[in-house]
Amino acid sequence: MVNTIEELLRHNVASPPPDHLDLGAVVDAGRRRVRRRRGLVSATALAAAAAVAIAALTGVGPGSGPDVASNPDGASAGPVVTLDQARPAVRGQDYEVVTSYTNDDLDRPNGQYLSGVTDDGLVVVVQGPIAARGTSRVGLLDPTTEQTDWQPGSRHLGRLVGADAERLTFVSERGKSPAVAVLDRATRTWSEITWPGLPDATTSGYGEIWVESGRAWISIPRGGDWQRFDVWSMSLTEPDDVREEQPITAETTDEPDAGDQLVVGGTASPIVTIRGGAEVADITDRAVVVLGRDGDGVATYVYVRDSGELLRLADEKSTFSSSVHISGDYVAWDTPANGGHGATQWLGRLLP
Amino acid sequence: MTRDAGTDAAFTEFAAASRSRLRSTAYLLCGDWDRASDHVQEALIRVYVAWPRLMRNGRELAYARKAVLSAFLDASRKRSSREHPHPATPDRASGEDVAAGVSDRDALMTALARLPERQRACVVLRYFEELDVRETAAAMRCSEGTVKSQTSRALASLRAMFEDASRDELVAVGEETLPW
Repeated sequence: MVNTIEELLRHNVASPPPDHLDLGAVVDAGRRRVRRRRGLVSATALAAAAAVAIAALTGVGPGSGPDVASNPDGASAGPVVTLDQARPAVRGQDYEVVTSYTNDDLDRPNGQYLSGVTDDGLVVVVQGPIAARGTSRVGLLDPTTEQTDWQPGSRHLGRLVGADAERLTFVSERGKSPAVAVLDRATRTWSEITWPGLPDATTSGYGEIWVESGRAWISIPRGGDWQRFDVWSMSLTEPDDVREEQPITAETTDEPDAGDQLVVGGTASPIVTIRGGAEVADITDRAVVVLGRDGDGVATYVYVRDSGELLRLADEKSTFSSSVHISGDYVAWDTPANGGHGATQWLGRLLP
Repeated sequence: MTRDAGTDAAFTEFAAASRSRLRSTAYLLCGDWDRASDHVQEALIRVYVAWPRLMRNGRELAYARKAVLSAFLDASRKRSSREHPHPATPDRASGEDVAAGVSDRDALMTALARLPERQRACVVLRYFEELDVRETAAAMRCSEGTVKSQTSRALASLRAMFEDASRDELVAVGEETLPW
């Protein structure tokens, strides 16, 4: 005889005990929370997280960082653009396509994905995870020759967070403590690194890991709507090399899209306000890639910092949600394929 | 964000219609009906806060589901690491115990309780809520690849636990295994 998970799950909830949830109390609590939140700026969680990262990277302390929080109602000193003003991006004039890859069926247990680009211009390709083992293998695609150099081994890998000439760094999906899987490109060997010296954040949870200046960084939230984050940086080779960095303060919200405008800040560039219901997809030194709702669909835009222009990269967005690690002039986006069952990932470069 | 009696009434109607389903999802995640009610209450408060925008976008249920998951994960993080996630089945510590007279559906809940929270969430969203990989990834705010790997590992663990307990084979309808 065979059990199906679907059936067993349904049977387990077929006869629930009475529910005493008071919807009036829910509405009252909701009203109180709305009042509390009205004093807070509208920004997406992703924008806030990005702002946190920028603040941490530039070593800015509390109160002087990316001023998402100090610009309520979008009254920022920087440029204000609206999605309606965007002009279509022109291939060959505004950007060039470095490579693209199409997954016909995103529901398959395994597949191949563009995961990022290294500082020396190779494209990181991840194949997997294999259904049975959940492991993936990694290749480096040279876009000029279209040859992929598959690296040895197959591992449990999370998001690509660092890609330079020396190593590739992925978030490790093993264990509960922060950990990364590092590929040494010269020796073609993998290592897994955790940091025993990191403080325990069982209660608050850890923030996302990112890599900058050859080190891994992590934030640990300390609670509240106006949050203080402790920031730590860690060696990618020495488990005992852990440093506490300058703490930062930023507003975060658990709302996926908290308003009709998006304020993107950082000390390295002016704050830009994007109106029209946008959501940050990527931030680099040169550009901010945003997603904007367009009727029933979603379009992809890029705000180019040096020209101050907002370009419409693609009229449609696939339902693909994987992030691509980019920096510098690179931009990444994706479009639907195979009637919406698949996606084409595009990796491009903004032209001067 | 303007609110009036009409929007509150629409929210209340939505909450009344969806609470039972959301509570079932929360129960499968946490294994306790009272705690499931707490997660649904917190989730519906979050839905209320976002309600005017959700109505415009027609994403009420997807957001509510995401909020239940978020409330469950938040609560899991805050709980003592010594606390057992499924107090309803605290004594079943081994395969032999599972085999000793409990039904297959009880065995599944016990096995689910032993999975890491996010793997459990993948199983519940994929096989109870019947979300596809993309929708599950959106609900969990992670990549499709992560959903696939977490689900694969969860299914392998559940199967192993059923096998160790000498129970009937466990399968997921529609599951695919593609070699490469």
